[in-house]
Amino acid sequence: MSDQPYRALVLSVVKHDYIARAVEAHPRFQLVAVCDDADVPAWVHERHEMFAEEFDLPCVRDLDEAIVRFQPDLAVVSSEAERHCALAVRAAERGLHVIVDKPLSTSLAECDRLVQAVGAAGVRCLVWNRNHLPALQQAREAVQSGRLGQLKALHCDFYFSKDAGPPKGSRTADAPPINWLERQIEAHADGSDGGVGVAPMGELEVEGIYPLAYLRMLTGQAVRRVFARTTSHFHQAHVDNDVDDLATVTLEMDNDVVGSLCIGRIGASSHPDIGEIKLHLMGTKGSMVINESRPEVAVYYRGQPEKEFRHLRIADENNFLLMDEFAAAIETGSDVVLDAIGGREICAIVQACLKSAQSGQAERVPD
Amino acid sequence: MKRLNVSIRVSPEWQERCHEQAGRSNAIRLTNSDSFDAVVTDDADFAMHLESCPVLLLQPMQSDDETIQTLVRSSCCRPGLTERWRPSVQQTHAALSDGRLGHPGLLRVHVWNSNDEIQPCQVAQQLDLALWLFADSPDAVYAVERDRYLQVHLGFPAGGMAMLDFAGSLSADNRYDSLSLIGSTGAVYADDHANRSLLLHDQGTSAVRTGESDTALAGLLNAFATDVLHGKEPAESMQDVANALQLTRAVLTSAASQTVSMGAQHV
Repeated sequence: MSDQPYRALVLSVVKHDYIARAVEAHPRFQLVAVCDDADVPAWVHERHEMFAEEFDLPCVRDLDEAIVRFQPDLAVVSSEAERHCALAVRAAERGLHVIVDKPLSTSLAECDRLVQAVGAAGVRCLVWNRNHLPALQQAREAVQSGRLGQLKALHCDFYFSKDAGPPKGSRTADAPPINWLERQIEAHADGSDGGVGVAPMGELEVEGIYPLAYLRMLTGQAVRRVFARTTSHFHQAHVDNDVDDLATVTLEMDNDVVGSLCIGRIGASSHPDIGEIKLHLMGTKGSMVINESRPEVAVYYRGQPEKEFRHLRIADENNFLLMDEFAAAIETGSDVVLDAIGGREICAIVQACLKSAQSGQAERVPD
Repeated sequence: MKRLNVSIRVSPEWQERCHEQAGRSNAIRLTNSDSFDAVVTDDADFAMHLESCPVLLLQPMQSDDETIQTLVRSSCCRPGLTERWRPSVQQTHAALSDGRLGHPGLLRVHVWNSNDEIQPCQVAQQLDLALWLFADSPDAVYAVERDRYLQVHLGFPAGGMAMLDFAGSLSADNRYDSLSLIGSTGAVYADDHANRSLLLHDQGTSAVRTGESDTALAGLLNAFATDVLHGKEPAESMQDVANALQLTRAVLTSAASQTVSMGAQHV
């Protein structure tokens, strides 16, 4: 093990800068530069420059030049959602380990390219996730300890109580449809820009990876068949761009395990905090109901801003543990909780869900 | 205040509960005589023979099809849909019907207990809630069944959806209920998880359920008596029972065939 921290190249940081921040915060890693292609839009360059300035990093507009100049060990990809996989592939092909934001991709072919590139280069890939949140780890321990027996069913509610622009039905007849990218750029200020990019993406595609990663970790079973319903229920941007903001999924897994997912961007008025995120686990010997947000502390005070969360998550070491795990993976070849193959499996589930929502039938998850 | 003379003709398992909860209503005067204004019973055959007398039929989902169809044609039989009268469900329905939640989007229900087998009537009670809250019939039904476990997935024509699951495999006397309804402008979360108290004892710590006691039955009996006294049409009808049971059959068909039942053909 080297005493030197791993050198991380920020390969775009337009979406969730918390990933790059998490890398910088871990003692085994250090950010060395921000980089993207020269021909990306001006607003992308602006975000890169802001981030680079905050961390006193050079900002480079050529990936190969950045690799030569800064000798990075890994790339941290948090670009527009539709570029995640392509940038991750380019990094892997250049021998860099990769940390990539969600969603990995909406294209199985792109995911396959990443899996192949990572394997061929012998590098490690971490798809960002929330599996190390304390309540999830508690659930994982309960499953692994055998206290629940064999898992029979697992359900996840994953509601983000964020708004996403004007409510459904608010557009007047003479107004143009909401442009997805413009809406997402505006949404950066309040953090509801999870699907930032040119390509419109629904909640299943943007956020589905989080709960599906929970199910994958806890059951250890492959999802074989899904039945899904989707709708644009809350936000005009989703209606105008024909993507879901509310969805339900029945999941049929190996070993007769049954699962379900209820997911939605349900609006800020529908929950006092970030949203109801719960898991229900049913085993042959016991069951468990967990709230993903625990532990938390309640803070109330006179004059509290309406949108300030009253309940604050505490003891959340998810980011640190992900980075710890990634450092170990680089050094020892150990597994990370969600790698490119896992991200690819989840992409396949999401694509089968969308197909089911279109066909009205249960659909097999492609291999 | 005027009171309704009510005769309670129920099987022993209902006797004590009915008398106790009816005794809490100032609209009810219990009578054992043959001179009564209305009847509460859990005997559907008996209800069928009470022509022109208001009757509240408890456990209506346990009746057979023929009986239900006969009672649908009877104008004086009101089904005792106790699940609708649970305080948490009443609050949910009130928030929806007065517009606070906007349009219903997603209903999520967990019903876990230690009954071992999952009875169709138990499923029908929860499906009735879905039909009631969405005020519509689903156009897609998909169900998956495992040992002492049933998962039901409904899709409604306006885009709404419901996901319900039933488990009978909890250990003795264990129970867990949860209902949440996500609307376009608000949401309701009625969850046993949030309504548990901590009990710290010699063997460790337990979560103790703070239940809704028998207030559902009390509310139902009081509403029945009040509506009869005021000549008001009941909110529930035997047609609701018939619809819920028809949907239950669609669910069981889907679970057996592992295919999507198109609700319009069944409900």
